[in-house]
Amino acid sequence: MANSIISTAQSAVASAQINITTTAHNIANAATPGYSRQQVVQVSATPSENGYGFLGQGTDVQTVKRVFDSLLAKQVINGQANKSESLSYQNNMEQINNLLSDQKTGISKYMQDFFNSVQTLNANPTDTPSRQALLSTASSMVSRFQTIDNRLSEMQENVNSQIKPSLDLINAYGKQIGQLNNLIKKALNGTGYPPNDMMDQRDQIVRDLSKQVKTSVIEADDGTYSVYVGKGLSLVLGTDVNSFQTTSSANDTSRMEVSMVSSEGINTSISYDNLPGGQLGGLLKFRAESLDGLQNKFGRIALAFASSFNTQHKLGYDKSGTLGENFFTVTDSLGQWPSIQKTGSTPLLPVVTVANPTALTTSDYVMTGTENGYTITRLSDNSTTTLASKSEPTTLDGLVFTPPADINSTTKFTIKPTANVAANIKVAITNVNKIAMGLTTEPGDNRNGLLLAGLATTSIIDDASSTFTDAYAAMVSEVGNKTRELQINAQADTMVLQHALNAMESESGVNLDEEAANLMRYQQLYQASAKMMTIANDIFKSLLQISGG
Amino acid sequence: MRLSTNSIYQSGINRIIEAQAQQTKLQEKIATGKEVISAADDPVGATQALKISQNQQINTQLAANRSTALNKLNDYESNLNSVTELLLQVKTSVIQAGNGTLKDSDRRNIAIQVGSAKEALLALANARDTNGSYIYSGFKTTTQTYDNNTYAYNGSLEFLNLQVDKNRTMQISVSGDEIFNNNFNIFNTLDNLVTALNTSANDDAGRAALGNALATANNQIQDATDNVINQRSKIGAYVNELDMLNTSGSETDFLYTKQLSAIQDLDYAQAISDLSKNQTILEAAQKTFVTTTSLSLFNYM
Repeated sequence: MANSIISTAQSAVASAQINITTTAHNIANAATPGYSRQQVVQVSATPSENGYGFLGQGTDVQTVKRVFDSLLAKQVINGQANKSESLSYQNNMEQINNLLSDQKTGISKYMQDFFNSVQTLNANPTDTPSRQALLSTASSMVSRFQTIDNRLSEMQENVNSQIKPSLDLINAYGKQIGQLNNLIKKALNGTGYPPNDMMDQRDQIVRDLSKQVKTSVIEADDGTYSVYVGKGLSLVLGTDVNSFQTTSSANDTSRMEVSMVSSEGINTSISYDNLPGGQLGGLLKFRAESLDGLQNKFGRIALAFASSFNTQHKLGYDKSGTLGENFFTVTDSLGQWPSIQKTGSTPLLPVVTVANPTALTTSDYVMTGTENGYTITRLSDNSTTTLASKSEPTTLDGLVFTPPADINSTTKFTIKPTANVAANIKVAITNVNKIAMGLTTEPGDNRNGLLLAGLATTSIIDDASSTFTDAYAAMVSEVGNKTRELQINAQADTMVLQHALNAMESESGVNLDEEAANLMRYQQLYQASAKMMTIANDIFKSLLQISGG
Repeated sequence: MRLSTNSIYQSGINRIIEAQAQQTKLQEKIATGKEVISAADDPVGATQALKISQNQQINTQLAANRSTALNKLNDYESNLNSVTELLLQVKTSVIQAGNGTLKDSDRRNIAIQVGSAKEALLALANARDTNGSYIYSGFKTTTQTYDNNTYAYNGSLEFLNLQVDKNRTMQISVSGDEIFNNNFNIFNTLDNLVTALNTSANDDAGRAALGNALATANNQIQDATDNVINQRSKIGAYVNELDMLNTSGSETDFLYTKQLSAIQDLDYAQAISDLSKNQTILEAAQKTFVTTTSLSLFNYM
C-alpha cells in the first residue's frame, strides 16, 4: 500500500518537474522568432485492478507537443509573400515616383525652355546671342533627358544586383529545409515523438523563405515538407533540393534573369510571371511591369521629339543659306541606333529609320530570318509581319526595317528603337549659324522657326494624340497612380499579415502571465507531491515500528 | 482571446511606429509648404500641375514675344512719324513754290530744302535696328533697303511674323515697298520736284511746266502721306491688340498661379491641427505601451 502511495507521488513529482521544465523552456523562448509554446501531454496512469475495483496509479507524461496550427501557418506565409512583394515593388516604384514628381526637374520644363528659346530667336532670327541661347537650352534639355534616363538605368542595375542575393537566400533556405527534413524524419522514425524545436526552426525558415518568394508547403506522412515557390516550382522534395541561379537574358546580356537548376543539374529559365510573391517577385514584377515600359516611354518621347524636330529643321535654311542638318542625334557612342542585339552568324545588322514619329510605339521588335525572307515580331503583342523577300524593307509602327543582305534562317535580331534614346540624345549642331530658321535663304526669314516652335504644342505622340508634355505627364500620372496603388496594397497586405500573425501568435505564442501562473501551479503541485512522499514515508515508518514492536 | 506577450509588445510598437511615420510626413509637408510632395500623393493633381506649369511657361514666353513685338512696332511708328512729318514739310514747300511772286532764286532755295528732305527720307527708309538689321528690307535684313542712287528697292516683300498669343501670329515688320514704293517711288517724286524747282520758270511755258510738276508732286506726296497714315493706323491697331493680349495674358498667368497653388499648396491650419492631433496619438501610444508592458504576474511572485 505504502509502495503504491510512493510510486503515485513519484509520478506526480516527475510530472511537476517536466511541467516546470517545459514552462521554463517556454519562458526562455518567449521572444524566439518562430517558437511555438510547448505543452506537456499528460494522462492519468493506467489503474491497477484490485478486489474492490480500480486504484489510480498516478500520472503518466506521454509527450511534449508544440501548439501549432498548420492552417494559420499557411495564412502567415501567404500573407508574408504578398506583403513582401507589394513592399518591394512599392519601394522601387517610389524611387521613380520621387524622380519624376518634381516639375522643376521634369523633362517638360526643360523642353519648354528650349522651345521658348526658339520663340525668342523668332523675333530676331539673325541675332547671334539668341542663337547661342537656343543651343544652350538644347544642351540643358538633352542633359536632363540623359540624367533621368541614367537614373532609370541605375534602377535596372539595382534590380540586377538585388536578384542574386535574393536567390542566394532562397537556395540557402532550400538547403536548410532539406537538412531539417532529414533530421525530423529520423527523429520521428527513431523515437515516434515530434522534435518540436526542429519543426519550429523549419517553419521559421519557410516563413523567411516566403519573404523572398511566394511559398507553399505540403507535409508528407514521414514528416518532411515539400516546398514549392512561385507558381508551383519545386524547391524541396523530401531531402532533394533544387536551386536557382541568375543568367543573362538571351535578348539583352546586361539583364539578369532567373533560371532553375534541378538536383540532377538541369537548367531551366523561369519567366518573371512564374515567380510571384516575396521580395524577388516584387522586384521582377517592378522591372517587367513598370520599369521596362517607362524607359521605353521616356525613350519614345525623346525619339519622337528628335525626329520631328530634325525633319522640320532640315526643311529650313541656315544663316549661310544652306539647307538645315539634323539638330539632334540619338545614336550611341558607336554611331548605332537603334540598339540591336543579334544571335546568329551574319556579320551585318539591319537598318532601321524613323518614317513617322506619330506612329512610334513603346514596343521592342524581333527580326528573324526565314528561308526566303524575314519576319518582324512586335514583342508587346507578338504580332508578326512576314515578307518573302530579303531585300524589301518593312514599314511598321512608323519605322522602316531593312534586313541585312546576308540574313538567313539562323539569324535573329532583337531591336529596341526606344530603350536607349533618352540616354543617347545629343545636340548635333555646334555652330550657331547652322540653325535653320528660314524657309528661304534670306537671313531675316523666321518661318521655319515659327514651325519649329509650333512643335511644342503639336500633338505628335501616340497617333498624334499627345504633345511631348502630354506624353510625359501621362508617364508621371502612371507612376503616381501605380505608386499610390502599391502603397495602398502594401498597407492592406501588411494588415492581412498582421491579422494572420496575431491569429498564430494567439494560438502558438508564449504569454508570460500564463507561464507565471503555470509556474505557480506546478510549484504547488510539486510541493503537494513532495508532501505526499513524506506522508508515504511516515506511513512506512509507522508500519515498520508496528511490525518491529 | 488569448494574447501572446510578443503580440502585446509588437502591437504597441506598431502603433508607435505608425504615429511616428505620420508625424514625419506631416512635418515634411509643413516644412515644404506643399500638399502634393510626390505624384503618388495626388496623381491627378501632379499631372495637372505639370500641364499648368507648361502652359504658364508658354504664357510667359508669349508675354516676352508681345513685348518684343511692341518694341518693334513702336520703332516703326516712331520712324513713320518722322516720315509723315517730312512729307508734310515737303508738301508745305510745294505749296510755297506755287506762289507766283517767287523768283527762280527763291525756288532754288526751296529745291535745296526738298533735296535735304529726300536725303532724310532715304535715311529713314534705310533705317537699321539695334541688331543692325534693315527694318524695311523684309527678310533681307542684311541688305540695304534702297539703293542710294537708283532708289531701287532691294528688300523682300515678306514680313516677319511672331506668335503673340496661343492662336495669334502677328505681323511685326513692314516692308519698305509698301511705304515708299506704293504705285510710285517717292524718292523719284522728290528728285523730279527738285529738278522742276531748279528749272527756270520766267516765261509762260516755264510757269506751265512748273505748275504741272508741282501738281503731280502735290498729288503723289498726298498719296504717300495717306499711305503712311494707313500703315500707321494698322500698326496702332496691332499695338492696341497687344495691350489687350497683355491684359488677358497677365490674368491667365494669375489664374495658372492660383490653380497651381490650389493643387500644391498646403492648408497650414489643417496641417498644424493634424500635427498636434497626431502628437497626442503618439504620446498616448507611448504611454499605453509603457503601462501595458509593465504589468506582469512575475511582479507579484
